[in-house]
Amino acid sequence: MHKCENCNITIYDDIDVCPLCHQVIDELDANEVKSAIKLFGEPAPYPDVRLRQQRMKLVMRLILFISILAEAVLIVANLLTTPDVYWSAVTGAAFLFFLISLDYWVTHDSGFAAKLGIQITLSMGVLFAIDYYFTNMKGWSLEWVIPGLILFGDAMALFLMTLNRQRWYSYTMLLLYMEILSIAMMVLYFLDQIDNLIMPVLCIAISSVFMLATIIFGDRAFYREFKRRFHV
Amino acid sequence: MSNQENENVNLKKPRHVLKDNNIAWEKLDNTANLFPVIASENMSNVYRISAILKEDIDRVALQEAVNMVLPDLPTFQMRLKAGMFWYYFEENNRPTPLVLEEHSFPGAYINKSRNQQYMFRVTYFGKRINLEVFHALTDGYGGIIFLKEIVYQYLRLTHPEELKGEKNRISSGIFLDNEDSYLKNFKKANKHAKGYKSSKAVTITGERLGKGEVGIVHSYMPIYQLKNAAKKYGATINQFLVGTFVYAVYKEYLREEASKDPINCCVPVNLRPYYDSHTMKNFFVMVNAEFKPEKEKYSYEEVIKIVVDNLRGQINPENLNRILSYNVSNETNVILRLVPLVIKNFAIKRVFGASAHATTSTITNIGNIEVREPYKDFIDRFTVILSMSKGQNMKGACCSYNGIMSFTFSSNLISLSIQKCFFQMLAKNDIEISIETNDVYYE
Repeated sequence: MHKCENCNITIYDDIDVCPLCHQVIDELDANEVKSAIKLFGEPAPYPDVRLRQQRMKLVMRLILFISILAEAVLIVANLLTTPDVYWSAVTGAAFLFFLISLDYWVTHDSGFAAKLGIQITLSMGVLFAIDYYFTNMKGWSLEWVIPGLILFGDAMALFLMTLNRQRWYSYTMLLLYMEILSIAMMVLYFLDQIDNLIMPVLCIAISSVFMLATIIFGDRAFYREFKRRFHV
Repeated sequence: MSNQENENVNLKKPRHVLKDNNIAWEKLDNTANLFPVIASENMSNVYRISAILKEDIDRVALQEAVNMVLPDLPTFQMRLKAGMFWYYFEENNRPTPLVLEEHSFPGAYINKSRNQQYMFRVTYFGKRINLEVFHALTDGYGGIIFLKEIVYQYLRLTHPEELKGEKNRISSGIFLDNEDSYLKNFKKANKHAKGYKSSKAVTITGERLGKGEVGIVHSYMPIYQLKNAAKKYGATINQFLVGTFVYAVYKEYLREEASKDPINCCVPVNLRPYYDSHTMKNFFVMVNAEFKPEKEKYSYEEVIKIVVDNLRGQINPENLNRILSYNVSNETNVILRLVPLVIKNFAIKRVFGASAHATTSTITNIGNIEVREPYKDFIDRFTVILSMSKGQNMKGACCSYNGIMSFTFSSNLISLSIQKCFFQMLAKNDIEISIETNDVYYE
């Protein structure tokens, strides 16, 4: 414990210079320490938390560094082997997608179902972009992969409801979102954007069956969740 | 009833929240609606209240104390969910969050998906028990109640002999009232209702500490000395402290020069005494201590007088009612209520961002903390810490206990010149001061 004569204050920290005016300060003698403690209480120091924060940052930076390095190697390999086909752009997009997703899952505080819904949407966007820009819009994304992701979303909602039976209703919004996406796929079919009817029908059938089962078996809990989610 | 007889008995209490047979939920209060929207890693809207005991903390006993108190305080047993139009709280029946040794800077962001989805955290270090609360849950009034009950139960568990007659339930006399007092006391749209200032105020800037770091300077001073000093200037303790802070900003940051922007210091006012409310939810409004230096060289006395007059003119029932009316008017607007949350979030962020620079700092006083007689000998002091927010790189928070005022600066700036001037001015007024920091200012 110290005393700064310039500021006229007692300093509890274990330091030789006043943190306020930067004057070199002396330690209090035993009696002065005793009376300060009697008046204000014992010091209550803080832990050094900077080290832990630095470690967390280091991990994220390491992942970023490895990703950039890997992509650089792939670009070189691309240019040396098949300079006419820019396949390394796809791997670059995949790395970017991975890094954004990782950051989102680690730092964002939405619930699991919301994160899953957003991750599925993001994946759809990336796959559609790859289809559009790199395979000249062959349509495989809309015909097969995006409906596949909707079915994956349905399966995840069902899996999560079974896993977390006490809070099963928390995943009804994810299910509802998959239902809306399924309807959107069917609309795309009627707008002649998709040739294959099987996948949209499969999506809408499975999503609707799941939703119907949730409404019937969920009974009041389902309506309560809707009441909470849609309260004005 | 003996301790053995009332073991594991929780309170039988009325439910004030909207109860749907098996799951309780409630709307956020008027002020709370803002916090989830603007909260981020850089602006956590988390405040910390700490109790410093006279002995090192035992983690196991502290965990047990939290386990015992939490079920009796429904305000804290909630998790935050996003609806289509509004955020809301839903009863959280997950296990009590783990009590951990302090491992982050005070007021760190509370991730609503972690920590068992609770919006508060309890940590400890040495002799200190910290309660950190996301402001959407409650203000300092509710936070203090929760912390005191945790401390009581902790001490009862660690000192069974000395505290033999004490019960293992929350104290009698606590109001478990969860009403939204904003809405309850809002009468009608008042044409005189006025909003918060949006014109630019002085922003304290400078070289910053590392990302995510917060510098803390606690100070302790005897209440009677503060009272004597404040009396000399015809001020209350709160007005005196705010006035001294404003002078410190004027002297150290503006270098005693005239400024086109005012120093605007926000002071939260607890509305409970004005409306006879005992709600555990937020119930406060902000008033502004404004000082616009139009000439050079204002004296300390002049600045204190301006701030005192300014605060006195605002902290009265009529003006507080006007601010309350303005706050609630937006929430009661049917059209605004029907706007989807995503759009509301966007709009609120923009409005908040635009008004953030209208405030230089915030100084809050959560008042005198009284603890029950048998526990007094075990507690040294209490401290309060506010987290940083946009446009405000320095804040102050104070509380008093057992005749000692604890005033804490939190800041994300390296410079301590404003704090230095603040403490030197207090010391010149014959106030004995001790300070301690969280060591972030040292190598």
